[in-house]
Amino acid sequence: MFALGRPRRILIPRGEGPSKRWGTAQPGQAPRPVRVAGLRRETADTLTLVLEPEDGVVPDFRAGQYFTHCFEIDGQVVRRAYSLCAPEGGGLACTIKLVPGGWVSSHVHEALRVGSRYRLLGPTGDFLLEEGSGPLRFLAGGSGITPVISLVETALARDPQRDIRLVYASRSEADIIFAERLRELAQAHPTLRLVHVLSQPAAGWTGERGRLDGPRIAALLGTDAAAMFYLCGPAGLMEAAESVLRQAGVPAARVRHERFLAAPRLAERPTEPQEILFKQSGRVVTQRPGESILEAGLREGLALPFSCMVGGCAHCKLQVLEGEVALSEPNCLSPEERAAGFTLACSACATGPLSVAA
Amino acid sequence: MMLDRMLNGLPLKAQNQIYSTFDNLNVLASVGNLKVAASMAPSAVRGLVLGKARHGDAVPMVSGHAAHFDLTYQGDFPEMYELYRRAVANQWNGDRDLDWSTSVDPEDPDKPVMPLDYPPFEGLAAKGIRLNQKEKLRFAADMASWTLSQFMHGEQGALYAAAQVTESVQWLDGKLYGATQVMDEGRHLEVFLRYLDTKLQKVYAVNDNLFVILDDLLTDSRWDVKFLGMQIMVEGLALGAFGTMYNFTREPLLKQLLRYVIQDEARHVHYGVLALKAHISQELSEAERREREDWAYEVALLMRNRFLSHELYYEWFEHKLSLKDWDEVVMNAPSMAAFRHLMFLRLIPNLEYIGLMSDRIKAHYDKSGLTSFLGGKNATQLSGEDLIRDIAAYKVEAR
Repeated sequence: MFALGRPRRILIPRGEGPSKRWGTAQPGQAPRPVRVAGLRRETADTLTLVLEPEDGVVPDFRAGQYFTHCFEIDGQVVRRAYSLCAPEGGGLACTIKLVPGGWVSSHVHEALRVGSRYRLLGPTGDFLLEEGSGPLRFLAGGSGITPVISLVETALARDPQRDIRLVYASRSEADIIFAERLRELAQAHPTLRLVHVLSQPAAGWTGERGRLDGPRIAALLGTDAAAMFYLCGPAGLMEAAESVLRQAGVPAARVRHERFLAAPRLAERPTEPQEILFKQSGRVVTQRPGESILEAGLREGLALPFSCMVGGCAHCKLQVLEGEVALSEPNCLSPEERAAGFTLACSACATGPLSVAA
Repeated sequence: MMLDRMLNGLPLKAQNQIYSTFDNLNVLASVGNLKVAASMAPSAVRGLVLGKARHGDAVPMVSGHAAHFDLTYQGDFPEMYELYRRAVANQWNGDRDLDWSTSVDPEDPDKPVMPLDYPPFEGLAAKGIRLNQKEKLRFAADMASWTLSQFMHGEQGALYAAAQVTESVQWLDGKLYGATQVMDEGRHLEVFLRYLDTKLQKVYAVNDNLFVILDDLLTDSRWDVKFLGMQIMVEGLALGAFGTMYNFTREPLLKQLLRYVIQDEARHVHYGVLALKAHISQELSEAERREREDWAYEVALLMRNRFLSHELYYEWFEHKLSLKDWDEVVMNAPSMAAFRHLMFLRLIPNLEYIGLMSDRIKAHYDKSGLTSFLGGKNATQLSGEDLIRDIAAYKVEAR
């Protein structure tokens, strides 16, 4: 039979809407491919990566947030959370400190080049500026300055006269990250009081020196209960600050902190498949050896919330109803959350039959 | 000229039927080598005359190729094994690695899937067809759906061809590599289908001429012709088409999707040239080599001249413009020039590298204006990143 004269099929008939096989796409779940567009050495052991999204669309982020960087090292995908050091509305830039013996930070410092490509998840994090115009107090230690400079610059961009105090602890003058950028900020904004504290200053340093303990933190930062406090640095420094602020009557709600999350020590994972009952949907999912609860659930198309994938944001927190899990440490779960039976789906795996409230 | 006189004064529908018939006959008549014409004829009849792709839910395509079952596992082709390793290491996941939550409005002028500088509006205006802004946006969106639909149909063909070639290739390392290409093509089919189904929500039927090429490849029992057609010719066509779309689109999800696909294609063509260079130089007689050379030339011309989006014509302009005029508009559109440039930029050096560019056939390519691409980099000298860079560079020159 000849085709001439037959009605020509132009369009393929479609059913009612898209196929069910695709499920519902979850926002922000796809890692975003980026290209390293620039490398800027800040100090001997810190490097800023300037990143360009491959799709050309810079994602919206808020000052103080972080991305989970998914590097491929030796054929393995390794994730680490690094804060942005750019103000809101700026480009993507993250400053990463070389940790002696650190697998990932060594990769960043030694293997990444302009043009290197990898992926980002996020942004995420709630180390954010509050609405309002009250005083802001920042305490940063070492590379803890990364999200802090983003917050300070954003706050000053919104209100150039904002009452801001920044106490920044470094080892030596050469270890001060963003030294020039901070100096210029302080020069341009008289209401920004910048105090550098060096633990091992060279002779001739006339500024603050020595270790920062509670009383010194209180003296330098102040304990104004009307201010918002932002703390980011090593655990000892953060604990000293939190303790002294609490003693001085600063409400807990006015203190924000961003903890460094050390590289996770992966909990030993079962070598046999395990069944997980997701109570809310009633779905039973088989967790494959090596998978986390989150990976197993997503693979089966469950709409589970998640963000950083490295145990740092608790977006994937869920309650264990029955059964045991192995949870990689450290992570951001509080003692109270642990006591209430919560775990992190991204960092935990079932070690036997498991039932979760999700 | 005689055809013009014949068409003159007839109603548009009759003009189109006569033009189509002559045009289809012309496809076969234009093939210089009789053996090549004979090998293509059944597919041309099925696609252009019987219109097999225009009705029904599926078309059986029977191939007489033999699976080459390896009994000794002795052959060694390290370069091919290296490609296999790279393919395994670089697998991406269409579901996980693309942000399907991206909202896509194909008629959004700020992030157009197909910007208004892609469709041939100037050529249409010269023929007296003027679209208003709203119609232009809708037409550009339809053109995006048509183009991506053809990509999808091509990927379905590539999936089966890759599977057939994996069966019939004689190198074990080629079979390992081929398995990864089957996975790649499956993934490409998945992402194009998903994009069309969930974002553009409009899918066009397979173009008759694309169907002819796919049918010819999938039913030819000679493994090396299948291989040449799929790995060199259709992959070259795909690189031209994907690259053009990649350059033009401003829609971030599609851009990223195409980027992933193009990077896979670089490996596919590399595999094709490795296998064929060895085969053509060592296994074929001069007569067989010459036949492959002619076949490649005819397919190259078909690919250059025949993808003229007739489905869009019938949907939009059937009662306003003759099919002949439409073909002229599309052939002269700048976006078609971009497509042809990117396709032949890769195709010609690859044909040269594998030994299908003798002085005899060069004269034919020269007549068709295609020898300017001789001496370019072939697939063994190019990575996925090189391809993306060259594609982006063409945009700068062209616009």
